[in-house]
Amino acid sequence: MGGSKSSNVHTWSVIRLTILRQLRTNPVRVLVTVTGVAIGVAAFTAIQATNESVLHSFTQAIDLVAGRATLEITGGEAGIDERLLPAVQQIDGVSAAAPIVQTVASVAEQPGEALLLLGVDLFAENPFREYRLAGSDRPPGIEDLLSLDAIFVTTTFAEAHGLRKGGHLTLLVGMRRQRFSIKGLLAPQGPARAFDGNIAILDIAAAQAAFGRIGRLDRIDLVTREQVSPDEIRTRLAKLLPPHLTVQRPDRRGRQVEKMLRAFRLNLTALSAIALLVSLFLVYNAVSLSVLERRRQIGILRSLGLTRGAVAALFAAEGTALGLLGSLLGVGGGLLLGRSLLRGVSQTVSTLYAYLRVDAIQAGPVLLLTALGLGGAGALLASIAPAYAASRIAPKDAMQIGSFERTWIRRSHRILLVGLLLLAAAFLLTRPGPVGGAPLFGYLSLACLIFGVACFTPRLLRLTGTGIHLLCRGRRAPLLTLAAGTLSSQVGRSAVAVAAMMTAVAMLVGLTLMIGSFRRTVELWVEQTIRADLIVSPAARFVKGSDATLSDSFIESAARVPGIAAVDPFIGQRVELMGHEGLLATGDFEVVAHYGRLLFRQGESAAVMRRAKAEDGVIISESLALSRGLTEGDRVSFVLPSGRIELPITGVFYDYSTDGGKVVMDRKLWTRLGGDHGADMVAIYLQPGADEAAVRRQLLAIAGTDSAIALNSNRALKARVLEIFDNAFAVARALELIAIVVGVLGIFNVLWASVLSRQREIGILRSVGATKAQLVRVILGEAGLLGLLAELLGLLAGIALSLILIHVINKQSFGWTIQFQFSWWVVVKSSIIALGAALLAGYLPARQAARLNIPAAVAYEG
Amino acid sequence: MTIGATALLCLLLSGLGASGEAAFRQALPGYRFVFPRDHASHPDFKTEWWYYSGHLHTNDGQRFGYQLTFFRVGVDPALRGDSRSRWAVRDLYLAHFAISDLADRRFQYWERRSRGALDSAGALTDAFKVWNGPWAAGGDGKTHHLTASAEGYAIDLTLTPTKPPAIHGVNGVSQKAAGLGHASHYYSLTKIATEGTLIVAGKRLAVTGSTWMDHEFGVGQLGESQAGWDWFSIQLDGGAELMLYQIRRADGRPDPYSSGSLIRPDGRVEHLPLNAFSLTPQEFWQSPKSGGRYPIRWRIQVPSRRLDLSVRAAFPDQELDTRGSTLVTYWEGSVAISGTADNRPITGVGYLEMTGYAAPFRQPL
Amino acid sequence: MIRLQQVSKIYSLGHVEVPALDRVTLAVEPGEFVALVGPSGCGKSTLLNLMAGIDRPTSGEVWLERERLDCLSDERLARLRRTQIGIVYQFFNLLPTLTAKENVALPLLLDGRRRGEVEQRVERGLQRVGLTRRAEHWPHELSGGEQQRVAIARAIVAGPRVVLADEPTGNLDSVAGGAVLDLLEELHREQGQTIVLATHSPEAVKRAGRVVHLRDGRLEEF
Repeated sequence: MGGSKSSNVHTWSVIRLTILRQLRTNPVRVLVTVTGVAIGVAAFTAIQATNESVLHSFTQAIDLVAGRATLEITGGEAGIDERLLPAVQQIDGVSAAAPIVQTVASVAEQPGEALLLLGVDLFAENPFREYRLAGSDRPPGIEDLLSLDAIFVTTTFAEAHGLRKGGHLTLLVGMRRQRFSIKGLLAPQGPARAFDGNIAILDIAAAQAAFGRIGRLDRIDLVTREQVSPDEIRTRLAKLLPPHLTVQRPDRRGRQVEKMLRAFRLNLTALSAIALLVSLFLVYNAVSLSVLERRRQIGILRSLGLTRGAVAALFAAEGTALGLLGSLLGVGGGLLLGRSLLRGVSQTVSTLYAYLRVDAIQAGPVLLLTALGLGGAGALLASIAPAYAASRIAPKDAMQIGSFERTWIRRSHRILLVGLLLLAAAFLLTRPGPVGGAPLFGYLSLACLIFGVACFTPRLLRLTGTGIHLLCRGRRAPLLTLAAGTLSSQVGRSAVAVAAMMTAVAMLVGLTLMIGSFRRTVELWVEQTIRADLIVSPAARFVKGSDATLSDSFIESAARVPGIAAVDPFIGQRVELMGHEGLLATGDFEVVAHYGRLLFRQGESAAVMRRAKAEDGVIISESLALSRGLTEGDRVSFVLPSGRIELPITGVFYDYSTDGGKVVMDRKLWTRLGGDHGADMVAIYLQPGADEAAVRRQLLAIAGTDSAIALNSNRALKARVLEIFDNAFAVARALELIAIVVGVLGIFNVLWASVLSRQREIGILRSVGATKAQLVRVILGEAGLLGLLAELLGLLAGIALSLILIHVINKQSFGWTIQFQFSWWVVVKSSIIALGAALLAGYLPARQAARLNIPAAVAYEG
Repeated sequence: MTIGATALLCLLLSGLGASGEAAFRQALPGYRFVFPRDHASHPDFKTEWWYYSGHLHTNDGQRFGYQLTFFRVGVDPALRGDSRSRWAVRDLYLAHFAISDLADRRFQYWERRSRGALDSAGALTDAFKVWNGPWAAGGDGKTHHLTASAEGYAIDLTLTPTKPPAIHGVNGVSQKAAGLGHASHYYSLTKIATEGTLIVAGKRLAVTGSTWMDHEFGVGQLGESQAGWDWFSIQLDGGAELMLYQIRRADGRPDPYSSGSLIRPDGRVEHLPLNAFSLTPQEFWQSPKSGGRYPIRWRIQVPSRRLDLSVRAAFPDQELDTRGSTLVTYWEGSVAISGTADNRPITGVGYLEMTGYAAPFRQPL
Repeated sequence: MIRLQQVSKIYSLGHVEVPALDRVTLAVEPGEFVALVGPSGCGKSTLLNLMAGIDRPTSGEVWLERERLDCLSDERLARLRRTQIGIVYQFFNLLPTLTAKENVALPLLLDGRRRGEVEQRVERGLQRVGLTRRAEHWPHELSGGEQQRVAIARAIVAGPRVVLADEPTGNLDSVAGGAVLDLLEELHREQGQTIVLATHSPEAVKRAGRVVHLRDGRLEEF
């Protein structure tokens, strides 16, 4: 288009006469397309906003809890010997150092409701944090602060749980139920805002006693002098502190959380991108239809002197306008959708990764603009091809019927070739490894797969049409013949709709197969590896982040209970495992060898366990082996409070309980290396014929009256593992649905346009005696055929998709080996959904066709 | 209001009748002081403090006042239960440190507080050593050593008492309110030769001068009807010292348990009951920070000794406004003395402490 | 055979009411070849549409034999059109996605006739219009005249009582148009086919047994 002013004016009036008029003349398509884009963008926005909120909640909580601290010393789960504190305080440049113990407790009356307990020296908190008491009532006295059951909860928490000052709160902390007395309510300010108010403050003396952590700190916060750089102070501290302690800026922890969640977030983002992609197919489709319908108009405009470029710009602008409008709505809808997804996602993150509490959706302007931009730019991209096609329409062509379609048919060879190339690329892209831990090539392979399969639609449509035509030749199936005829003659407009629906089906099939295979794999793993008859753990462990433990005396007494054959105490601690966070765990290898079982990559469970015990070796999870390139015989190294340890790897076992990698050693070795006592949980193996109920009673009696231990049967634990699994994939399932809805809108658009453009045909059919019902069947037949083709291609693409997800993306992101399991149920389910959806999409256009005014339809040349 | 601060306030003011009182020993008549043992801590009493104030000057005549105080407040043992935590509180430790630059009329002060865990603060019972973080006071029978530093200011002083301890009150007891045990054991070292280094705004100065030391242990200070007090330590040029304190009741009149001591040049101590002296505020200064209206010029009369003194603040603003932390806001500063003894002109130096003038101990709205 | 009794048709264009037919009364007897003439917009097509049952009158009665069309259901009308009424349009109106043969077979297929009968009748129909060789061709492979002949075959394939032709030569050159008119005339002559032909071609009028003039929606019979 020209750049002169007059040309701009001219362009505007053309736009006004075409695009804006389109809004008025084709409101249904505009509505459907905009809705489709809105849904796709909404899915994307919702996922991104949820991701952002989860992360923001973490970093905000870290910031709020860190307060004015400029550095912090952490010691992982082993903690810090508090006797180091005076030396830390005396380091030049440290102006204040605050001791902190913290744990996550579970509210006794509401198991699963978590509360972060922060034990601080209330007399030394001033340089770090400010706690403001709500209300103007009498300030707490010294007794209120220092009594061992004193706790301060936030007003938010108090309101949510019907608590007040002076009341009591029973929490599951450590192995016990503990009753605290609420000495004051914290106004929502500073740390009291963290985790949406699910945080409580105790004096450190009470906290150490309550958490069973006498003599140990979880963290030391430091305020440093401005004149000295924190790095300088870190160096000074490093000389003083044992190696297992880390000194870092508090915001580093935020970055660690981000790293930990990256694979999880990337996965969700990729899925939401598919939903976005489906909706962009919709734009392509809508613009193509618009071009088709306005061939005549284009011809007239061209003969009146509109340039090719202007025609292309016109349609590109139309697509972009649709995209932007949809994106605008989608961003708003996405925020609403995000709010409802948030609970599920935050729950999953809480169960799988770290304690999290987030109730408000966070979406910065960057995110919103990205979503808008992606929608708009995507729509522009999607309309380029049809806009180009429009610009190629010569003034004389426009008057000819079907010229557009014939171009498509001519091009279908080339498209097919591109499709084959894309599929080849998709295959090759599954070969390279991850980039910085992320399966980027895997995602690229997914994209190639989808576009590649999409390229098959025009050819397949033609083949199907011709095929059905040949099959029905002369048979009494005039309606099917008609429907098939339309398919093969309207490849151009139908192909993209089929591609959109195919993408949705592929997503449905791919995810269902992947999740199904994954679940089956986990089920098998659970079945084979969870052998204990009873699993005892502190009830507080029900919330993530709880570090409650069972005491040594409990474990010893439990082992002596009549009917118990063996106990296997398990401890797991987060440590740095060769660059990334992972789990360092211990169990009694002899007991596991005798009673339990792990699935090893090589070797039989009992033999490997016994060898590991004899050789002071460790066994590591498959994910660790994969991500760090370790194998049997290599050495793995990590830092314990006693120093850096390097141990040989005796076995590599399959494990689906964590994505960060796991190192397990025998309890004897653990104790020798100075590991913690107690246990996070104890697996109990019963003697044959033992009375489980009696053993349970005995265990509860040993634990004591105020104990809060949970006894899980073998079956209950297995069920719990699968429950966690199912929750983790709830969001993915929601996205499947969203993609299907957008796909349906695509089919609707095609059929609607088809009805509009074939008014004369429909009129003819009616005038030669087709009843309304017959007409409806023709249109539904078309819809059904489109749905069937989408299902067919989607099924194939979906199987490939699930293979990429399983063997490339999951493997590279999480390091899990999943056994692919095909399920015929997927075929049934997706067929029902695809066909049902397509017929649903065809219903309104069919009704519209039946209502047609026959004389008007047949009167003129169409 | 922060939690810790509120608690401290309550602690300091819990005074008479506070819970846990029974767990502590009371100051009863007949107490016999033994030195240097009594310089050390007395944890069986609820409240105890060591107080130093002094007047320092350099060779070239720059003059400074300083104050360094260590508080120890015992906490009811019932609160800590049988907790084995090192953080379980036995005593809370507070400390104030202030420097008055008389030439610049600049007053700087700092405070510390600590629960004493991991020896971050403490006071020994078997030797004289009390500390709070890097601030410390201690000594043997002959000299005391003070160190304190904060933000470019510091003292490192060696003190040599030139007079024996002056024991205040009657029969070893300084009564603070009506009733047995509402009292403290209280002595002063009224004349201590001082030398060492002073760092002012990063500048190290060699200084000499004189110091006054108080050490008191017993119950909290104020009864329910008592609003605050005015306390004077005066070193007269003739070699005599005067300590006076007046407890002000809520109705504005002096409490009958106000009293003082006159320490003669030879070290003998004369107890001065309330009716033996009079204190008359003569000029006021209102603190822009706290709003407190402090008398900064007083007339002191001790008719029996024919003393008539005018006490004038070296400069008005020597207020410690600690509402942001301990909430105890008071005026404590260097004062100059002039007047007559036996109708002969006399001068001297002193320290004046005034509490309960600034929005006394109420939670801000 | 066809009787129109005081038939009026008024179209509403927004707020303006446009009368297309004004109290038209007309009877077409079996075996008649009636030409409906008049200038463009005089209501010829409307009249044909009413006779074909693809439009309904605003008032008046339309009878085909014993059936009153303006009272029948859409469903019944559709069934009537399959077998009793054949329609030929100016623009041929073949379905582009069906071959010539399939286009002809359409009314029978829609009516659910048996395969044998359909084959037979289509064969005869195409033979009748002389296009047996073109049976498997697509509409866009046929000339205009051929397309119109296929349309005629489709109109007569079920043996309708009446063939309604709306300007069947309007879009053809004179040679092809003449052939189409010849065909219609033959049908009338040889089979006694009742035909109503809307036209303004004098050539067509010559072949009709009776000429009815329409002007501004009113009948002027000569």
